[in-house]
Amino acid sequence: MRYYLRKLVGLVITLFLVSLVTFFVFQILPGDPALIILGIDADPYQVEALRASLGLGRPLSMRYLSWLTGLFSGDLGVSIRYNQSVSSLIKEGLKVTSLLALYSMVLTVLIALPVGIWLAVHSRKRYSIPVSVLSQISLSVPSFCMGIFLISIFSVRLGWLPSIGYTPLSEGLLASFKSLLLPSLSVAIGSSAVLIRYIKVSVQREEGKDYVRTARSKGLTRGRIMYTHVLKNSLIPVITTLGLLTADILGGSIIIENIFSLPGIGRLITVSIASRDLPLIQGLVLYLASIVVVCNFIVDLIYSLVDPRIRLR
Amino acid sequence: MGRYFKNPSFLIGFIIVSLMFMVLLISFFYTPYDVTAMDFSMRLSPPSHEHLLGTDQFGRDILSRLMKGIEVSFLIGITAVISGLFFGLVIGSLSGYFGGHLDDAIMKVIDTLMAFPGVLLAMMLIAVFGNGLTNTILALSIMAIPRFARITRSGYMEYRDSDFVRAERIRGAGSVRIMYLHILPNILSELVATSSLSFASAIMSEAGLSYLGLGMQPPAPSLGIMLSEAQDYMLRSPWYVLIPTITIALLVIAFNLIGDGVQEVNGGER
Amino acid sequence: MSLVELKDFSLSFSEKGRLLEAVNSISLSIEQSEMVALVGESGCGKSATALSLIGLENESAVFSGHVYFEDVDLLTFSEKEWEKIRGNRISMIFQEPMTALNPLLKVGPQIAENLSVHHQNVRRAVIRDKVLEILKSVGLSDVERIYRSYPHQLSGGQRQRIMIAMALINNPSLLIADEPTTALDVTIQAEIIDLIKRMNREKGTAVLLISHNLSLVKGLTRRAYIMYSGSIVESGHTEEILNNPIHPYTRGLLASVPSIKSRGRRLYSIPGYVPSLEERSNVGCPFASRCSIKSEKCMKERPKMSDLGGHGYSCFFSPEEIERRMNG
Repeated sequence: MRYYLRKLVGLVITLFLVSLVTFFVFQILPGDPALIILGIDADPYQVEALRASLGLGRPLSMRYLSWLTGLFSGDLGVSIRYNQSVSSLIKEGLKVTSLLALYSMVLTVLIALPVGIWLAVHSRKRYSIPVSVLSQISLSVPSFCMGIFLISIFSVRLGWLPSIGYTPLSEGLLASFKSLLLPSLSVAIGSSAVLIRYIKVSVQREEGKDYVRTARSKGLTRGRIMYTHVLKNSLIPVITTLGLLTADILGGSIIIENIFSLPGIGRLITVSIASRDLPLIQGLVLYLASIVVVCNFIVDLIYSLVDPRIRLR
Repeated sequence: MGRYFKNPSFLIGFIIVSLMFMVLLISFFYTPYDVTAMDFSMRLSPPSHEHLLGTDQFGRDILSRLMKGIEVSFLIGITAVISGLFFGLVIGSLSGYFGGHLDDAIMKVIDTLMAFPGVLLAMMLIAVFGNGLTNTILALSIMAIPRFARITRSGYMEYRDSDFVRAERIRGAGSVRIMYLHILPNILSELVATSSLSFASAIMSEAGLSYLGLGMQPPAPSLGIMLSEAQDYMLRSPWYVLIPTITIALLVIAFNLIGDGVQEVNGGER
Repeated sequence: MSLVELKDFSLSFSEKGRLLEAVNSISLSIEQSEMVALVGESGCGKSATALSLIGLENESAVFSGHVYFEDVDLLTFSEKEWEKIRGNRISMIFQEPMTALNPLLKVGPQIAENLSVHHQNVRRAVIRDKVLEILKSVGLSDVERIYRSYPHQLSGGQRQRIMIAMALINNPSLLIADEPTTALDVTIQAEIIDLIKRMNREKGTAVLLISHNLSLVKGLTRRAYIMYSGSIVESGHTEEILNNPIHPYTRGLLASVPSIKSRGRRLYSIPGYVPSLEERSNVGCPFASRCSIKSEKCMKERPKMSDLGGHGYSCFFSPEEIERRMNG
């Protein structure tokens, strides 16, 4: 119980720090934010109005406090570019991004798990070399290069899948899935290569342990030892990697959404930065970082559930 | 050093990086054409004797732009690694060697920074400082620090209670001396591997940011900018997309291979 | 017929194109229900011999000679045949009870696994009962709780008892115990030794005890083999070897064990060190480089086992000659 309590306190502290960073990073903006947002030749009246709405006249700590209280009531301010409430924009974008991230994560695991285990078992065999080389290559090709590749093959050459744009879930499950398949694959190929390496190393490390020798001395077959003893032990450290991968996958989808013109968080963030839409940037950054923190927290919980040794500490 | 060259991963990576580095050196003195010189009569022409890698939508020579683009990638990679290494080493060694509340505080900050996906962190900094070469370098340099800090910290934690460190402490050696004269050599190879991997990810991030229009700005030659411009002509001139894509991938592969090689060679000894 | 019979058994590892000999043409036998000790310093090849007996030696190992178990040569076994015999007819317990169990599985099912893998179609309830029974018989109390415990919740002594229970649940004819007490506290060591002895008596399981510790073997095993640098240098009844050692190595080994008799005197230590696998030479007596009474011949020729009424030793000199040379 103490373990969970400590983890929960840690979560709250990290979230608080994330909000601090998100807020204060944008306060080091050189010059007058209102002028930067609106441009130097803006109407002075407009500039004054914006300054008031951003609360620039008040002291920093007060502004942070009111931003923070706004957070809890779901009020993140109003986007300057879109003239809409930030939270409703994020809500819309999140529909796409969460689906994209989910697909990517599932694909990542689906690809990495069998390949990683296969590679660990067959690593000394010659025929495994092409697979390792392929996974090394997919690790190194940036996800947006991969996206462009996939578009040129599956949409342009073969015409199997749409190249850009998003079909919402409401217009049919399959159509929506198809519109997100290439983007999520672009993200998943790279991140599954990362996961494959972790799985491979972890399985190989476990195979050298004493309890495996014990299991062999009982007369178990190698296959059975792998499935009843080695896998569970070696996948536990991999769970942690899954937590780290959420950050990677979210980061990857920022760029991927731009390539495939998907109306998600990533697209919003690019637009908001290009147009210096301060309230929107802050809201988005906070949101993304919080998702990562919460995901890592969940991963820790799962970890403690599968490893009986953790809970006692 | 010789044992590294016996490792196939390291060797292949090293060869690719050396070749790229030679291209970079040449680009200081010579590029076939001026990187921004447009020639509208030669728009999107395929590879030929005149233009070995063809021309882009403004009739600019792709080879010349590629050469300068590699220069930008190396510049960004090197600065990111140096700053990451320096600040990461200082922060990580203090945190790992002294432990306690200092370590708790530093790790909390590092963990917080790590909650921001890499690209996002760079994007935030660019939103603050504005885009362009200098700010991209600045953003990617800051981005590289947490990784180095973590690796350094775990290395120092491993060695701070080891026998040779205790012996030094008993002999009366100062903390700074122990930290940087005695412990540092032990984690050097890990730092080299991390440098190589960080170099790769800095190159990748620069290309990504420039692709999004948040990094370098056109008409500056950067692999990311080339890629984003080429994407529109994917059907008409596939080589135009392929060239920057392959170059980025090769660079990243090469640095990843070097990092892997260093890890393999040192992992085998322990 | 003997239960186990090693004949001219050799074991080498090929490393970087070179064959390194870890065990050099040894012969050893174990009778039904007998307790036999294999004693030597670390690196002498005793663990490699033990692992070969259960087919768990490294895949790169190259064997020659014969290893008969119930008159079948184990060296001809395929992996499938090994799987049938391991944990069933031959079992093994290891030095490190802390890491020998899977940390993620409860102890009971780990023992049960050994039973179910060799006896299909046995009902779960029956298996469970058998596991509880053997847990009791290895001297554990509160066995229901232990059945449901994870390894990290148990002490080192308890874990070694569990390893023994696991090894003995199928009533094997041979138990190989590789330094079973080395990693344990001294008080626990005696308990585990007593347990192995009791199990040998009650179940009639033959035991091959691998140890570096001569005093541990005393009063425990009927016979003993002394191994040095891949060869057996002396063999015979344990008491006989301990009371009248012949080979200079055994003498040195015994002289270096502290005892009440040696109190107040400076302990003997054999000069030099055990040569590593790479440094070993195939010519001459393996002990020659450290022997205080060696002659020209010892450097060139390998002595054969001589037999003196069941007490074997491999030295060119007669026992009287050794005695004279060592004291003179």
